[in-house]
Amino acid sequence: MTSLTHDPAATETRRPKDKLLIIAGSLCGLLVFVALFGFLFAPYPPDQTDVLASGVGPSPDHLLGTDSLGRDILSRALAGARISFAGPGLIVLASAVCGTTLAIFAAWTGGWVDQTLNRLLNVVFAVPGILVAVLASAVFGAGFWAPVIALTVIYIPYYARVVRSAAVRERNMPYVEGLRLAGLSSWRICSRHILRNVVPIVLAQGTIAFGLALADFAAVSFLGLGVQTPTAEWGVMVADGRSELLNGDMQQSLVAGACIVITVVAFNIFGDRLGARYGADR
Amino acid sequence: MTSIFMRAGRPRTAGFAAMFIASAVVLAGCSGGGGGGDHDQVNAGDLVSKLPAAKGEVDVLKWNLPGEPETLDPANTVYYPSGTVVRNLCDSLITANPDFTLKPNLATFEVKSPTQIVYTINKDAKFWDGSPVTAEDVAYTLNRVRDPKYVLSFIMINVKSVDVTGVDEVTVNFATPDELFANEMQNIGIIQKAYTEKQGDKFGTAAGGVMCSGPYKLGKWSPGNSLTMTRNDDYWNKDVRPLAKTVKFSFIGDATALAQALDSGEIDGSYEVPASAIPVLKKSSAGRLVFGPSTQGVNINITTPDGVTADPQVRQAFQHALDRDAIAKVVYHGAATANFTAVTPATWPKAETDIYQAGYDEIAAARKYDLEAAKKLVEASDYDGTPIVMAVQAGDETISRVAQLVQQQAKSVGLTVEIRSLQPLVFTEAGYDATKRKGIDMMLQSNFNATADPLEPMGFTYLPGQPYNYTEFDNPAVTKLLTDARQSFDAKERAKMVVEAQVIIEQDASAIPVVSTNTTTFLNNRLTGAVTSFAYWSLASMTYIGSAN
Amino acid sequence: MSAALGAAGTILAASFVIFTALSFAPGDPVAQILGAKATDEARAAKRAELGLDDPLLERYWHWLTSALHGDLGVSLTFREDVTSLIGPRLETTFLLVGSAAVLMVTVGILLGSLAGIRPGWRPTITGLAGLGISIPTFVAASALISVFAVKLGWFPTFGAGEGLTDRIRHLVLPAIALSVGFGAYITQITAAAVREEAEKEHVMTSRGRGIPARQIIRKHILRNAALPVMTASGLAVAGLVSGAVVVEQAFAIDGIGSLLVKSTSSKDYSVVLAISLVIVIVFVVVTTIIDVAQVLLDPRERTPR
Repeated sequence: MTSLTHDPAATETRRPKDKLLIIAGSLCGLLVFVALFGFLFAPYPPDQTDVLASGVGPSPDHLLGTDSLGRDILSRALAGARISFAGPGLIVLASAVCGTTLAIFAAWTGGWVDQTLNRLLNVVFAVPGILVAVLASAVFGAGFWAPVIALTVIYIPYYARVVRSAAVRERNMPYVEGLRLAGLSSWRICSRHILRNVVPIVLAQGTIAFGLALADFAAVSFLGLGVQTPTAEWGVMVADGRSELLNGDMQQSLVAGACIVITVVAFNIFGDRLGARYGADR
Repeated sequence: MTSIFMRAGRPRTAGFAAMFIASAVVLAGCSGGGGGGDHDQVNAGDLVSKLPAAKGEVDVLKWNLPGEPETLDPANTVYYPSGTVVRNLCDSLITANPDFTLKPNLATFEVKSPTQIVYTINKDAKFWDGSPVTAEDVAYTLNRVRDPKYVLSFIMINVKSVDVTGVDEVTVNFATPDELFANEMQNIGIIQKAYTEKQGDKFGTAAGGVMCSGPYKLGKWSPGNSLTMTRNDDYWNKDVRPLAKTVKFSFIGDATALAQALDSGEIDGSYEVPASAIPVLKKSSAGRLVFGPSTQGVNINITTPDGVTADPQVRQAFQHALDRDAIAKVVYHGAATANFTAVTPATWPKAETDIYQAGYDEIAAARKYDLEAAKKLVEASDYDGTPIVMAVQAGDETISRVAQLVQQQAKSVGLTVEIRSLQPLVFTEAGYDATKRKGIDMMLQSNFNATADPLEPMGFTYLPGQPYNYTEFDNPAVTKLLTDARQSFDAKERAKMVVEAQVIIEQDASAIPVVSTNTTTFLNNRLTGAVTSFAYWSLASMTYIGSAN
Repeated sequence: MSAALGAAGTILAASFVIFTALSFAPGDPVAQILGAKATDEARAAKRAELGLDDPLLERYWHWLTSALHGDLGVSLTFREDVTSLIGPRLETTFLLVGSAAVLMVTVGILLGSLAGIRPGWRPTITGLAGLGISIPTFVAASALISVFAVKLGWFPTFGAGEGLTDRIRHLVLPAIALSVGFGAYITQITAAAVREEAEKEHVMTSRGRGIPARQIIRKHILRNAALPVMTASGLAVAGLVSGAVVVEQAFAIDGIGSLLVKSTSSKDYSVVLAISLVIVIVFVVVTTIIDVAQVLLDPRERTPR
């Protein structure tokens, strides 16, 4: 955990090939592709109901079967990938930007600013995410944005902690002192040099966070506090499928559940390997 | 003026208007279960009001409520859970039979004049603690409910005074005549004055309990877990003999969990079984699922005078686009029937059924499922593809599924429906507050036309200035017909006028009827006797249930 | 002391934020209490009776001062003391969290130690842990219900049961669903910690000197690996409390999690606040204990830095 990131670009090429990284990375790429274009491959419109073929098992017409309203589960899973990814994507992006900015600012300024921010992050850390999500849905109304806002707040400390310690390390590096002596402004040093060197860490954190956020986002939908039911989304599908379980129709819950698990596994491993490669301090 | 027409949010809210079930309601297909204990013929597929009478006692009856009662104070019992419990604990002045007819209970009454009713309290009646039910207690109960802070206060809105006028006599005087008041008395449980005053704010809570005279006594109420009632062995009314020594209520609101509990025999029975649990329970070997007559329905109500849905052709297109039978089958699994008029058939007075049926059939035929007709209407209209926003209550699985089918069926004729889920509080508010309905074109609502008289719901919706007249419908002919009908004492004439008004109203189509729903009950095979019509909510339902052997 | 102060500050801040957020949420609690039918006058009377029209700060102050006196207020919908409303549900939730904690810690440490000590087991166990950590509780719940409750009929899916044995039977599936993710996390941490210890020099030399393996494992490896494992377990227990909200919904258990979701939608302030506080307090207390324990147990942390 002590490997310092002087210049990641230089060391990168000399490392041995990491097979797991490549496999997980390709899987993540594939999943992102599905999220972006999967709906084009859906055999049916995801919301199309067919009351004559409701709750049927896998068949040539419906490869993964249909739900109790006769909607094609494969189509819903493919189309649902989009919102299932958009939510956590936004969360990861927004919290990464906020968390990194705050962390670099705190690390650079130091002193009471650093301490206050640290304490504030501890407060946020102490409030369980689910509580924030429940409240957000009450305030903003259940939908897409409530969990996005709630989870963004929750995920900020997740970056801020790691990035801060990396940024502090950077700040104390000789090259920073050199830049300062050369007359560069704080803004320039932070935004150009320190930021560039913490980016790999942020990326690795972000990749893992994406998997976690996807699971959390789906959990909020499952509780009925996030994306609402006609919309195809994986958490919603698990919840919709819940009432079908008793009839022995488990395809909907299980397919959507599997989609979530596969995605989380892929991003976890990818992020983990990225972190190992670029020395992110987990 | 008491409102009769109820637009409720979630199903349990709908229990509210059950209090207005009047004596003459008898429903099509109802095999006519009388009171007492006569055997009814139970035909599968038909609506059943009561199961065959029970043969013996049981020690413990485990019954489920769709949620935990929020109070047992009879002045505030308006939801399914609290109503079901309180009817068994607290006697009201009159009570219902399984076929919705009414009979005296704690009191007999005499209508002295349109503005005066005199109640004579039964001399045998006594509270659980052995003290007699006095005229003071009755007058106290009724006067207490008049305070607007109690939910049921609207029943008392025309009451001028309630006084003790004799040893066993209470006289109610009215400011304006209120023909429904007498029937509404089935919904106010009589409580003991001394106990209620002693408990103060705690009255009706788990800590404070209640003191009533009913066939069951309140046992232990553990919030979040269960509520127990024990049989009142000294019950004053010797005609009523409860068969279960103890009734234990659970509060499972979740369809999956409930279905499993009933199927495994862990719980003996439940009213208001959610639609999604029906397929499993139909197959259950542990007990039987029974559909009983109820006055509930689901309508799409146009909620704004402006916007896309102001176009009558768009409204009529919806009427033709809906495959109501498919919705009843796929979503309700038999717990509902396609319905074509805003007022459900269960609301018709029995004697005039023929007149109403003829009017209904005509309207039903004119708006039958016909995609081509719907498409033509859409094309002929000014509809430009603007999304039509339909509000539904978040978290109500059944309604959500109806909404999704409606959305798809509308789409197939070129109408774009956007489903907007509102949190329960917001949804309820939108029902009575126009400012909360902004941007919403229609609401998918459960409604309750719970009186025998279609005039009441119609009056509340189709006369200018009425609270549920969302579309500001104002048709002089309808106004005249409804007003005349209200003043007519000839039931046949009245029915004809209502049907005539209905033709105009349905032509306007400010409501798109979807289905009428049935009371769905599950009962374990070891038990029988249960009242399975919606009248269960207005009577001491647990006293009927006992051993099948 | 400063830890306790910090914790108290966190709790205070959280309560204020929650109170404010709730009051800005749309929807009138009176709509739930009186239903759609009430007259406008009745609604106004009810609002006045409940003090809903008072200024926000005044209401918060009122709530805070009563709460400090141990009075958490009365539920708007149930008209019942919040304490008596929450008490039994708290028991249910803690039983669920407790059994999940026992399950996750025992299984996690056992599997983790096995993976750490026996390299042959390592790939299988770490692989499984990697999978387990990625299974969200609600997905686990659906899978468990469909297999063990519906297909095999071994366990009930609903409720909390009554009496100890019945309660435990009811809690088996929920506890498993709740513990999968965190159990896998503890497995990973334990495996890594044990492995690190096992490969240390003094362990190697002890092994060379012929000290029985059992003794080495107990005396050296497990004892030294205990600290990170304990920290991870503590964090996991804190996480279980919020995870319980989801599991209670999935299995329809009427614990504080279900009550939280229900009360939030009916804007039942005092109930939401009380439950939030319970959750935040558990969270803060557990993390504070971990911090303190870390300092006490770790010789490196004890020496002044």
